[in-house]
Amino acid sequence: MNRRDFVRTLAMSTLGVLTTFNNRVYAKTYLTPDQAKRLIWSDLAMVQTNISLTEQQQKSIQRSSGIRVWSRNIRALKSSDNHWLIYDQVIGKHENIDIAVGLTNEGKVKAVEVLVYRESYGHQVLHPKWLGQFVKKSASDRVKVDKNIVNISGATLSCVHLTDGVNRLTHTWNQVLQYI
Amino acid sequence: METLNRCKPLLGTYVDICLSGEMSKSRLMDLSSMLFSEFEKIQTLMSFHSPDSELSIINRKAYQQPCKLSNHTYKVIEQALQLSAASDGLFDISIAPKLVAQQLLPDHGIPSHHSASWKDISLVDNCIKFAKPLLIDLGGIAKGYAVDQAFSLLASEPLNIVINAGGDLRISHWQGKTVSIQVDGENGALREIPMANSAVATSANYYTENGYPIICPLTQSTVIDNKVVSVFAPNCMLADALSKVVFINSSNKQLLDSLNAVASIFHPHQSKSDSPVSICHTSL
Repeated sequence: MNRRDFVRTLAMSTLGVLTTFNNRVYAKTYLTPDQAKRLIWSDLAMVQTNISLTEQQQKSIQRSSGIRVWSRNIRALKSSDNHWLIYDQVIGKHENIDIAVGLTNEGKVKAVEVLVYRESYGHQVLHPKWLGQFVKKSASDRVKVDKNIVNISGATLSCVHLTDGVNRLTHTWNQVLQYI
Repeated sequence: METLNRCKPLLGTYVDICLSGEMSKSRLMDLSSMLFSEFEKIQTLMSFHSPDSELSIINRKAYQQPCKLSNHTYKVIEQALQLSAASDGLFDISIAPKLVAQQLLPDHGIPSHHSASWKDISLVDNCIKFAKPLLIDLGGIAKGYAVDQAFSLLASEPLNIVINAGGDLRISHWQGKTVSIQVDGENGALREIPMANSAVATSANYYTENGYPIICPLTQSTVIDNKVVSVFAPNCMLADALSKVVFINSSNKQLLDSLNAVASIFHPHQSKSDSPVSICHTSL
């Protein structure tokens, strides 16, 4: 990890912890990565083909898509006829949302599935005991799931960040994935 | 009993479909895919953003000539016009130019007349015609319609169905169920209340920086208010449209009664983000 990545990771971890301290995070799991793969690509044989973008590729994708590329690491599956399934994260209102995106061998979006949706919902809690439950927990453990919250109605939340994320991935295909 | 829960980005928001029933998971997968396809179809027809959608075509042409409509778009516009008449114009799908002017909808370069309203839209023999140049946006009603349409496709299936299209929520077996209303956009505070009918939709100003503000069609001005309005109705399209009507004018009890709908109005405190949310929960 170079210095810039280290600083970014540190900043995001700090932000994550602060977010947790102020909110209750609601997480809803929809599909496993395998279920999403079967839905999008059926039984098509695909192999794990993870990608690490170079800094130059990262900047180039940012420039062409106009969307920030936070991570240079791409978790993906690829078929022998060059179809892709990418597991990615986008930001919702406050929290990360896990998605699976199928891209065809022509770089077209075949389907998008949300795997895990996370959102923060109020109830700012300042009691030290409540805060204490997050001490020594890793970033992936910090989500507190409120199982009672099932049906939520509010003013329509835009999915523009997700749309941006998918757009970023089509630019990633255009510049990198199609040559792999 | 199998349960399947999926979520996809459609109609500009997150569409969450939950199906439970005595059938295989793969059958539930197939049924959910059929419902998402219906959402995609409605999105393709009624998108204001896409210049190729049926809606964009009628916005371009319906002033010059009558345009034939698909069944879906016809039904939505027909219901919208009925609601416009019943609400004395508080619900009006011709408010789009105001949203374009505020850069909340894309500008396709189509002219509109400043005095045009829903009264200048007519439906005859599956066709639509504008009496003045105007722009229609179905953003205040299409999500609710899509939810209802998905429900109608599963009418013969023995299923428990919950569909939530970004807050436009409908539940098949709703009696005894609760819904959590998001009463504050910033800290996201929720308030759990009983479902009062099969469908509920909520209107508030808290996402206006990237969503739709609520504009009063009669004054053409944005309604600035920190209240949150949820409307319960027999179907989602009604709940969706009526939540805007009640947000603009909350004394419309007669209209709600006539449509078998009720509203709950929430007034969150704004002084402290960590204070409990104070609720004025009023069934009109």
